[in-house]
Amino acid sequence: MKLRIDMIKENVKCENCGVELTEDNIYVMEINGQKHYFCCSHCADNYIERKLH
Amino acid sequence: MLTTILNVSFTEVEEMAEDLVIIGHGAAGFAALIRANELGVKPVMIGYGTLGGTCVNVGCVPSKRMLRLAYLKALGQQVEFKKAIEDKDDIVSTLRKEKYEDILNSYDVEYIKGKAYFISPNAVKVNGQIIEGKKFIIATGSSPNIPDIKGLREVGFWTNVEALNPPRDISSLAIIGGRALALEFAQMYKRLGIDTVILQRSKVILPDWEPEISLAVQNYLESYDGIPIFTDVKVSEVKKGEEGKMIVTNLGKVEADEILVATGRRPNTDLNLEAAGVKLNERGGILVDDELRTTNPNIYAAGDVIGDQMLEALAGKEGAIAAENALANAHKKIDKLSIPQAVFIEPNIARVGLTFLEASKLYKADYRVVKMSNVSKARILREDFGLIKTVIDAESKRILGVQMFGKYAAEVINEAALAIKLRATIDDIIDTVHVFPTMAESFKLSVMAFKRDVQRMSCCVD
Ligand SMILES: Cc1cc2nc3c(=O)[nH]c(=O)nc-3n(C[C@H](O)[C@H](O)[C@H](O)COP(=O)(O)OP(=O)(O)OC[C@H]3O[C@@H](n4cnc5c(N)ncnc54)[C@H](O)[C@@H]3O)c2cc1C
Ligand SMILES: [Zn+2]
Repeated sequence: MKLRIDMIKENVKCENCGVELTEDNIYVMEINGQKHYFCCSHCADNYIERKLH
Repeated sequence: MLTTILNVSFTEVEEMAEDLVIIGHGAAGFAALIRANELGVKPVMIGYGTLGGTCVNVGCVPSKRMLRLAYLKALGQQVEFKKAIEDKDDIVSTLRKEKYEDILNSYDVEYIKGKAYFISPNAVKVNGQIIEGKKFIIATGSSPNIPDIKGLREVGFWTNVEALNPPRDISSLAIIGGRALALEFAQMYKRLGIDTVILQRSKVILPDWEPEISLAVQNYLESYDGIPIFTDVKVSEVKKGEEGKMIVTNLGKVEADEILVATGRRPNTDLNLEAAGVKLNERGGILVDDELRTTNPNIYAAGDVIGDQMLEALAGKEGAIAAENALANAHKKIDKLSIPQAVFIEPNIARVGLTFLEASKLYKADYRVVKMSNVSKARILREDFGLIKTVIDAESKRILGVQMFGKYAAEVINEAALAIKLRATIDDIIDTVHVFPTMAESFKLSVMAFKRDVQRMSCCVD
């Protein structure tokens, strides 16, 4: 049979600002042992700030 | 009187005990056998299943041959799936004979076919026979890890074993997993004419790699190979579909002729290890110290069964080192930082050392990413897809990690491995003249990028 795909395609986005991530703007940070993906280190820092407050 | 009896029996046990018993007849077991002979010891080797273990039978060798044929087909050569399997079978049986059967016959070893398990700290049982040993090496490898998914076992699935020896013809394959084996099988099958889709649990494929590599590879497989890749997928159920097998997930459903489970491998530790006082680590593998000694000082472990990086060349290295440490008290260790590995999709993906994230925890780390479009050889080949990322300790300028997605990356990474093994600095690489034009120049460029803008350079500037 041919593949039958009925799925929503979710590309990985910056967890702070929501911009779609590509090989040119991806930045990974580990928070409590879990990997989180951002578009830059500033967004990663902002995300941690927001989570802290 | 009592002392005399005890003395006699202890001496007899000592005399009857084998110098070395190797359990497992794959890469690690064979490497241990050869090193034992080099040290003047004739070991007993016990093996269960097909001689040669994973690599030659259902691992590296057949998968790399199938990927090669898939590559040739992508270049336009006529390659029929069934013929590809026959060709692969021929390489497997030839290499198994040359590299394992003939080798076994040319070394001094007592080979026993059967499944061994421990009955005490210094004895195993195989086929009802008790074998006592002064030293043991456990090299029993790993098996596919099958996740606990509702309906999966009832509906049925393939692992690497069936994917490399298909029991029936299929036209579509849904792959659960997004690491090395999943990517290799996805491209192999797709290029050989069978539609594939990848369903990966984590947010990116290759989640332990540099994120730039993960996304560049995903982009390539989707756009060049036409393989749909879904990430952040949680599979809730597998059931019979209208025509094939259906995978139900948090993001929707997929139906295909067959399901390939490529969700990692688990160490083969079913050896009654408690009887021997051998403990497991948190990965479910055998716990060893950095000389590969287990919690029983006379028992060593090597290869996939440790549950660390599961790599053929590492298994071989560990087998040899375990034998040397067990028999000659050599106290050898492996430099873990410089162990390279590759995913053999085309173009290859390869890595050695630490990621930037890992390095940042230990050093003041810095990194550079260079696109393959800056590499003359990639342009000449008109295969300039991909990138290379190099991580250094910003203080000492030593190279800590290199990851590459690009043509011949599996070859290029060996230079980076040597650089890390020798704790080379960026200047050591820059001062080494590289052949022009080669893909290995990409490594040099990624190192030069710490000092200058490599996009604004003529060829071969130093
Ligand atoms: C599809 C696939 C592709 C791969 N590709 C690559 C690659 O390209 N490059 C790479 O570096 N690595 C690759 N690997 C990994 C590589 O194959 C393994 O790391 C390597 O083969 C491990 O060798 P080993 O000696 O530890 O175990 P094995 O080769 O698995 O040998 C262990 C043997 O011990 C036997 N055994 C188990 N229990 C007992 C017992 N109780 N008594 C006696 N015998 C027992 C097993 O049956 C087996 O024959 C691949 C793996 C797979 C599955
Ligand atoms: Zn952002």
